[in-house]
Amino acid sequence: MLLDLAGETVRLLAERAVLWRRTVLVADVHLGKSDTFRHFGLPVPDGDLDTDLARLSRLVLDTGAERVLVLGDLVHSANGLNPDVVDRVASWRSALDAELELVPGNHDRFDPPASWRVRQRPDGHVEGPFRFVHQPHTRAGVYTWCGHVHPAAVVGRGRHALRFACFWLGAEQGMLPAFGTFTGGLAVRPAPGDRVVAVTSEGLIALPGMR
Amino acid sequence: MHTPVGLREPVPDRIRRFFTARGWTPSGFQEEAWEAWNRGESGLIHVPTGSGKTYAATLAAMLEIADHGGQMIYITPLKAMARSIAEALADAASGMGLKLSVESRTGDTASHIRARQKRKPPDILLTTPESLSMLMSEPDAPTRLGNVRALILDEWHELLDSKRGTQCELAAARLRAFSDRPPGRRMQTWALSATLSNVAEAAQAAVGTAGQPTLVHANVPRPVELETLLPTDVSRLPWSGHLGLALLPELGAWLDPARSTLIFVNTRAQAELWFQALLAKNPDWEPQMGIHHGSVDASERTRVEAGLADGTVTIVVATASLDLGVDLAPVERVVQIGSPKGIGRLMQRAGRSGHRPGATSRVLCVPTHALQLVEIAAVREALARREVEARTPLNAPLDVLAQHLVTCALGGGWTQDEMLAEVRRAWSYRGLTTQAFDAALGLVTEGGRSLRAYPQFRKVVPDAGVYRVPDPDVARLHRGSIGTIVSDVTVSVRWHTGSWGGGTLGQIDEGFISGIPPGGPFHFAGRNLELVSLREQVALVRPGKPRRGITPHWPGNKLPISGSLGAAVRRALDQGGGAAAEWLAVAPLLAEQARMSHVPAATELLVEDCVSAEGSHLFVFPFEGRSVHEGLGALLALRMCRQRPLTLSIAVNDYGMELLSPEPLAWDELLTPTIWSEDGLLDDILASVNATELARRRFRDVARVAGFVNLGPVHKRNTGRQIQASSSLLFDVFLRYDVENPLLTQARREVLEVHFDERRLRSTLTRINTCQIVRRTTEGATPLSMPLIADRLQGDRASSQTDAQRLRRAMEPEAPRLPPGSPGSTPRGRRAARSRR
Repeated sequence: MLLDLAGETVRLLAERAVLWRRTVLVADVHLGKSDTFRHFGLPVPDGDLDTDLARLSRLVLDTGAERVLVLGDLVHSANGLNPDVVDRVASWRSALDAELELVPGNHDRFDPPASWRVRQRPDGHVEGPFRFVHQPHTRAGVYTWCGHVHPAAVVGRGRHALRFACFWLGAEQGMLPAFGTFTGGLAVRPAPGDRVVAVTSEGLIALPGMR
Repeated sequence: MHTPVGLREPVPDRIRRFFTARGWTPSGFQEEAWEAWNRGESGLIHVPTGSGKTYAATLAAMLEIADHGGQMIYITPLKAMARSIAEALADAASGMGLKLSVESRTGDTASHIRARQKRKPPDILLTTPESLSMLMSEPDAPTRLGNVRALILDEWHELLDSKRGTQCELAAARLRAFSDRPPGRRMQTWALSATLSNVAEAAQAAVGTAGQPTLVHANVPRPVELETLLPTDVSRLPWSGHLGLALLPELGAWLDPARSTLIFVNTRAQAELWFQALLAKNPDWEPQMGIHHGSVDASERTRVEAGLADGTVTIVVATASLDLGVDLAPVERVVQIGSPKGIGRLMQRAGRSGHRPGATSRVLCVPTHALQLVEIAAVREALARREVEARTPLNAPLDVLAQHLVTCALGGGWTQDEMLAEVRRAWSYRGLTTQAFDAALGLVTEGGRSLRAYPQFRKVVPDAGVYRVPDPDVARLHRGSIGTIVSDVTVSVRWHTGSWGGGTLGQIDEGFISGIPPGGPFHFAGRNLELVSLREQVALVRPGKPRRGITPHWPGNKLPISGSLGAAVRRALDQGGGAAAEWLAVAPLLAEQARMSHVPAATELLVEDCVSAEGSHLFVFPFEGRSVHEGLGALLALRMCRQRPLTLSIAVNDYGMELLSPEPLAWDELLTPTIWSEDGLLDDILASVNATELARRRFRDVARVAGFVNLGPVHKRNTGRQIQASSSLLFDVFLRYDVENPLLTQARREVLEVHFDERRLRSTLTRINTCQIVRRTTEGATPLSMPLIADRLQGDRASSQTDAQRLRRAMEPEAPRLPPGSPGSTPRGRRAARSRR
C-alpha cells in the first residue's frame, strides 16, 4: 500500500513493516521473548525466534532493502539472551545482506551483542523529512515514526468485534504494528482524520472513518 | 433411641456418657456408622445437613485413636469450616474424657503453628484439600503421614465433581499406600455427603477402587417449603436480567431485622449490589447487616459469622461462600435471589434455616426476571418428587495428575510402576492408560515434547529409579502454586491510613480496579469507597460518600442450571398453569409468548427467528442448561457455516441459544434435518472445539493447575513486565510451536467433556429429533428470547469466512433497519419491549 507522507512515498507492508526508499522500518521485534519466559521457568515453546528472523530476512530479500531500521525493542530482555540465542541471531546476521540499525526502546536497556553488528541510532534520530523514535512523541515540523504501543484496531461492537494489528498514521506521527510473532496488542482510539490500516491474513485493509 | 445393654454391642460407653451429658440421644444412623467403623469398614454417610453426621463419622475413630494411637485427618472444603469443626471435635474429645489434640491447618495458619505441628503432629488435623497436598510435599511425608488411621471427607458432594475432589482422591490413594506399609494399620475413609443422586459412585470415589464402601443412610426427613416473593403488579418484573432489583421494595418490606435472615445471591457482584440497595433503603439497619462472599477479607467474614451466631448481625447477603459450614448458627429465614440453578443447591441453602434434625426448612425465592417464575415452579415440583442432581467425578484430568506427581516427588519421591498403580486406585483415574500416564510424566520430567532440549524444565528427575525434585527453586515455586482453584490476578483493598495502608477489606480483580481513576467511587465489601491510589498489588481506599459507585464485576464461570432442573422447567412449561402462585403471576407473560410465538410443550422444540438492526437472529430453546447450549450452539453454527460462507455469533443462557448473523439470512434454508443429525457428531464436535474460543479459555486454567504457566505473585514481584502475556497469546504460541502438548489436549478434552459432553449432546439431539420442531418468525424479541438478547456477554463465533472477508463485510453499510416500534429495533431491544407491555 503506497502512501505519500511529508513529500516522500512510503509503502506499508503486510509483514508489519514500512518500506521507505531502501530502508525497511520495523518496530517491537522482541527477540528472545519466549526465552525470557523459559528463563523464569515458564515452559513456553520455542519457535518464535527462528520465525521472526526468517521473516526479517524474507523482507530484505523481497524488497531489496539495504537497511533494516528497528524502532526499539529489538530484544525482549537481557534474561532472554542466553548464549544460544545470541549465536542464532549472530549467524542470522552474518547471512543478512543489509545494515541493521536500532533506535533503542524501553526493552533495550543494554547494548546488543557485538556479533550482531547493530548500529545504534539515538532516540529522535532524523533523516530527511522523518524522525525516528521508540515511544510516541511528536515534534513540530517533522514527521515522526514510532512503535512501542503494539497498536491494534478493533472493528465492530460486542460479539462481532474483530481485532487486528494495525498501522496508525496521524498527521504528525506514524505508528507501526509490533513485528514480533509473540506479541499482543493494545486497542487504539484514532483521532478524526487519522489513517488506520489493518493487517489481515489476506493483506492490508485501510479502515475508513474509525472512531 | 435406647438399645438395651447386652443384646448387642451398644453405643460405646464413653460416647453414651458424652451424649447423655448433653441431653442428646444417638440417632440410628450414628450408631450404624460407629459400628461400621468398629468393623474396620470405610464408606459414605449420606444424610441431610444438620443431622449430626460429623459425630457419626468421627467419635468411634476418636476412641480408637485415643486407645491405640494413630492420627485422624479431616478434610473440609472451606477454611472457615475447619475452625468450627475443630471446636466441635475438641468438645467431643473432652466430653468423652479423651486426651486428643485437635488442630486445624489451612492456608491461614500462622507459620510458627505449622512448624510446631511439624514437630508434633496433632492427633486430629482439620485441613483443606490444598493444605493436605502441601503436607504431602514435605520430604518426610511418608513417615509423618504414615500413621493416619482415619480420613474424613466432609461435604464430599461439594468436592466430588471438581478438580479439588480429584486432588482429594489422589491424596487419599497416597495416604492409603502409606498406611499399607508395615507395620501399618489400614486407613479407614469416611465421606460425608448431603443430598445427591449418585450415592454409590460418590462412596466408591471416596474409598478408591480397592475399597468396598459401606453406605450409611439416615431416614431423617428434611421437608423444604418454598415460597415466592411476588410483586403486587407482575408487569413490574422485567423480561430479563439477573441482578434484578425489581423486587427490592417488596423484599425490603418482608425483611425484619429482628429475625435472622440469610439472603443468597448467585454472584459476588450481585451481593454487593443488593447489599448497597438494601442499605440505601434502610440506613438504620446498618449495624445488623453483613456481606459475605469469597473476595471479602477473612476477618470480615469471621465477624459476620460470629455476629450471626450471637445475634448481633441478622441480615446477611451471601454467595455460595455460606453454602457450607456445619457450625454456622441456624437462621430463621433464607432468601434466594435469582435462579436457584439446581435442586440440590436450593435444598442445601434452604437447610440453613431450621438447622436441626427433622425441622422444616423454608426458603423465599425472589425472581429477578419473569421467566424465573417458571423455574421456581419447576423446582417446587422437583422437590416434591425428591429429585436431585448427580455429582459426577471427573475423568482422569491430566493437569491435576501432573501437579500431584510433582507434589509426591517432593514428598519422599516415587517409582514409576508403584505410582501408576497407586494413581489407578483413585476412582477418577481407574481407567488411566499407560499412555496418558506417560504424557503426564513427560510434562513433569521434560516440560513436554518441545522443551526436551531445555534442562530447566526437568522438574522431576529420576535418581536410581526414584523420581524426585532436585532443584530447590522448582520446589519453592511448586509449593506456592499447589491447588486447583484458578483465580485471576487480584489486588488487595486496604484502608488508606498513613502512607502504608491500614486493615485489609478483601481482594478485588485487577482489571476492575485499574479501570477506576484515583478519587473514583466504587462499591466493595458492602461499603462505598473511594480509590486513593493503586500501587503494586495494593489499592488504598477511603470511605466514599454515599453516592452511585461502580460495582465490581468478578470474571468467572456462570453456573449453569442443572440438567435435572432443565427437564423440570420443560415439564413445568408443558403442564403449565398449576395452582402455584407463580403460575398466576407468570400467566400474562406466557400469554404474550403464546401470542407472539408459541409456548413449547415437552415434546416440542421451539425455534424462533427475527430481524433487528444487529442482523438476523435465530433462537433455539432446548432448556438443557448453559453448558450444553454452548456445545450445541457451536455445533449448529459449524454445520450451518459448512453450507455457505457465513459468520455467526453464538450466545447462550440456561433456556436456549441465539445464533446471530450480521447479514440477512434465510434460516429455513440452513435448518435442514442434517443440522440436528447424530451422524458424524464426534468429528463435528472436534471441529467445533478448534473453531471456538472455548479451548482457549480452558487452556489457561489447565496450564496453571499443571504448574505450567505459573504467573503467580512470586514471578510478578521479581520480573514485572518481562513475562506478561495474555493466556490467549500463550495459547497461540503453544498451538503454533507445540501443537501436541498434552495441556492443549487436556484443554480440548475438558471442552469436550464439559461443553460438548458427547453423551449428553447426543441424548439432547436424540430428544430433539423426536421433538416436533415449532418454527416461528416473530416481530422482534419474545419473552423467551429477550433474556438472550439482553444478557449476551461473551459470545463465541463460528465462521467460514477469513478475517479479511469479515472485516470487509463489517465495513459495509449496516443492514436495513426494522420498522420503527418493533422491539428488536433498539440496540438492546429492551426499551421497546418494555413499552409493549
